[in-house]
Amino acid sequence: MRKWFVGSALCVLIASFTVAQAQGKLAEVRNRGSLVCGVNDVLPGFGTVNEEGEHEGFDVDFCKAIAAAVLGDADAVTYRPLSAQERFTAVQTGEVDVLIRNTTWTSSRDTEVGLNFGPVIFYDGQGFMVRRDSGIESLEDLEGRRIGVQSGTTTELNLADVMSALDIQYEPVIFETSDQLVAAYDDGAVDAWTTDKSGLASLLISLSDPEEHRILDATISKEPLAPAVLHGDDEWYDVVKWVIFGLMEAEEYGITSENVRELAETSTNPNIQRILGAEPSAVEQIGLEADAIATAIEAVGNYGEIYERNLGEGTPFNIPRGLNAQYYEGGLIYGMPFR
Amino acid sequence: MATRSIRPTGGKERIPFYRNVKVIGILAQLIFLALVVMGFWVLYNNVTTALERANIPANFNFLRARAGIPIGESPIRYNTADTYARALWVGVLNTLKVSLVGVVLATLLGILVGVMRLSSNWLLRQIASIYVETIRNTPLAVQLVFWFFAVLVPLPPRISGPIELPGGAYFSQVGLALPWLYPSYSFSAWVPWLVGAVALFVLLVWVRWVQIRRSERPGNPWLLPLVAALGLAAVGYVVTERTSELPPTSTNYLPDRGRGTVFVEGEGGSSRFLPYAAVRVTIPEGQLRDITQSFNESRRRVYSSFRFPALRDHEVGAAEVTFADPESDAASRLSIHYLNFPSSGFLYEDRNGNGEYDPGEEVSEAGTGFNGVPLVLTVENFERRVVADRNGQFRMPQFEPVGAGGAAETAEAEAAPPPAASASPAALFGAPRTPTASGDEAAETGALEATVEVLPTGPLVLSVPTIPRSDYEGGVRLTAAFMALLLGLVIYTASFIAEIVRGGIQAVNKGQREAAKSLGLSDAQTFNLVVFPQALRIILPPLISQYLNLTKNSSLALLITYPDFFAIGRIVANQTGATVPIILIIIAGYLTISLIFAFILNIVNERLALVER
Repeated sequence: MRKWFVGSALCVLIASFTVAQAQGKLAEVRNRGSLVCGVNDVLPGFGTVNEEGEHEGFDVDFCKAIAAAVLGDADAVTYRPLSAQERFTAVQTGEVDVLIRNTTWTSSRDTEVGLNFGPVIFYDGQGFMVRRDSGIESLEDLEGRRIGVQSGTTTELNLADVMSALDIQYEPVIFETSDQLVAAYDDGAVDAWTTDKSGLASLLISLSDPEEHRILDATISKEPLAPAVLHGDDEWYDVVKWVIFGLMEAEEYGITSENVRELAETSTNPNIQRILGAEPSAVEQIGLEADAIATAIEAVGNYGEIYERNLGEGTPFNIPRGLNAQYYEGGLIYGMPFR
Repeated sequence: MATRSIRPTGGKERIPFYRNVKVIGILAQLIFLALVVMGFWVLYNNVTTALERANIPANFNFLRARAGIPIGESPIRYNTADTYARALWVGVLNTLKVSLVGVVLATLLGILVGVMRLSSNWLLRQIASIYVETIRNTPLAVQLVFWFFAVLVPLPPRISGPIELPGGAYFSQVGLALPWLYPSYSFSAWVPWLVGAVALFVLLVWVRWVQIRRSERPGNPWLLPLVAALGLAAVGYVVTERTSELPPTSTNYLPDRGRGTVFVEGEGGSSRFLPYAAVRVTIPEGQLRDITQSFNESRRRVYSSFRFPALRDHEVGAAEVTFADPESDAASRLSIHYLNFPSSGFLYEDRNGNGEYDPGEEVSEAGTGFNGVPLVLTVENFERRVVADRNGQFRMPQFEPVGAGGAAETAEAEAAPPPAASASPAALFGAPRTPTASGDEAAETGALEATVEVLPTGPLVLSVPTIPRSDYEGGVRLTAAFMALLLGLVIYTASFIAEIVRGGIQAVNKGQREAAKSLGLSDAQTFNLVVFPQALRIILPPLISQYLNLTKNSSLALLITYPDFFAIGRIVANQTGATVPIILIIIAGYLTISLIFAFILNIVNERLALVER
């Protein structure tokens, strides 16, 4: 009889894997006192771990901004490094509050996987890296060449689609991990390798002689990278959206981490007043303290500052703003108005 | 009850069922069965509900969908428009390819090492035991990664400067390319002759067999029939070559793309490609372009070197390397030195003004070794014979008309219509760039004269590898991944086979050897005729399981980019999300392969086993 008992107990245990959600994410995060943020830890510039063991990068700064806005403390973040395969499960099960891990916004992820995507924080696209001395300057020059790509990614499918559309015949070499791919490219075993351009720029500096390589101008796909939260919690979704819009608006109105406190007191511009909480209702509607956006800007700076600090000219990556410039400078970054 | 009545027993006592050993036994088994069934049910239920909840497909419908995944090497025709089922089939064939070749090589190496371990020569014996102990005590995955990432990719030269082996073979970090025979358009006409040759062989062997039996003297029944059959096949080959005619063909060679396809005109204006057609391309005058680069053969960046696609001496009438832009600053200061005209050389600065290169005059501008000075190779009377692949496609270096400089190219680029949005969205970083005009247009507007002739061939055509760009063309090609996998599997499995062989030989009774010696047989005869045949019976059963191990171990291929069954299965699972069905297919696939292997080998085993009376 004990066998039966153990057996049925096991069944019950296995079968009962449902997590009851009693409260909203915003209240949950406040009670916990820290934000659990799903990040990348192997992509320099976007999400990586520095020598002191701290997470840093473009994506990581948005985690800090949300923590600063919600909890008043940019350091109240628990980072959860996730692999490409793990990331969606982590959001679905509620293991992370928000996923900011260079994740492309696609229809299937938005619907089938059950995510909600916030504002696009980086407009990316798939590109190619080649040796300068290879004579490859355009996609056509890849005719008859060996191209390395990582398996199980959208880049693999994009590559096949675009090359067959352009009638370019090449030899694909499929690698299991990004490390292997970069090593083989560095050894010259493939003529070109392809992934998101941000990834190319980020990994360029890990090659033995970065000077010898270049990223082709051609871009073969749209890869809008956006933060993601679980579908179904509008309150929390709004918080993530508007903190990021706040950082984008801040750049537009010239609010920086340096002058944010001063502007909060002195500025007479009603737009700035609304963002920084001098007119409390605009921010309080979102469910945050009146000075939440100001706290976030003080902690990590506006969108432009985050970009420059992690990816801009002073960094080894030096990625031009391009599509990620503000809309009035020809880019696509467009913060929705606080009103 | 305080008292217990003792019933007289009539020889038969009723035991309560819960103390009856028989009943308990049956009951225990029933309970166990129920537990197992329940366990499976729980698993099944869990999997299906979990899959349903997570929206993961749990059926096999995805197999008919367009795969869209690129696969590096395939023994059959495959492109990204094919289905997932075909992609998996390519994986099965790749697994079979490496397993079959691996089994043969591992057996040969294993027997050699096994015999070496018993050698009376001290050195041989030690080498063999060091080999066995080192290899079989290291994980196979480590060995595979070692062969691929530490030996075959970094050590051989780049494909632009391959090692040329005798017989027209090339070796580089991309792999090994060997000349190979392929069946041409007239092969089908030769098939009846081949069938006849085989029939003749069988018939003659039978006749000779009967003759030898009757004469009761030793004789070789194989030699004469073999010669006769080969003779017939050869006669058939010559006759077919003389009589069969090349069907009407057409080609669509694009010199600037460096590729073309051979088509055969069918009835009613239809045309389909002609596989393995021999093609001769002649170009009276054409140009190849290159940019100078660092000379990093030994990772010492000293020269600013150039390296055009490998042209062989007999393929070009005359060739000259010049600066693409004679007006440029580089052209006025630097001179060109040929190492291996016309393929490679480097730039130098003639500092002492004697008009020729002296050591020490090398240049390396910008300090990084990369110069980027464009050069052109003008070739006259280029002629190359290649054999098209199984898709009827052949590849050449990418020629441009003479004088097609940078100016012409940019004009063309500006004139080109904007690309289709799906194919090439605007650039994200830096200035947008429109791709240059497609090959068709360039071929129409360009002045490059190129003639393509499809050559008549015999039933078999010898395909010699060439390197048109940065990959091999023609011949048969062993990729670095395939070679690494094969090396790893063969060397690893052979160490086990060696031990099995050694054990088998040592198990043969010493008396057998002594008896053979006393009959006056030599050492070799003793081994070949007496010891080894008896050892084989002991060796074979464990050998079969080693063959199966090798086949299954080939699934480690995904570590080193070889597209085997498991690797492709994983990619498909990742792209479709149909993990469970794919795993089932993979299990069923390996099971089938292994069972077929085991079935065949067990038949062999039964034939060889000692017939006991």
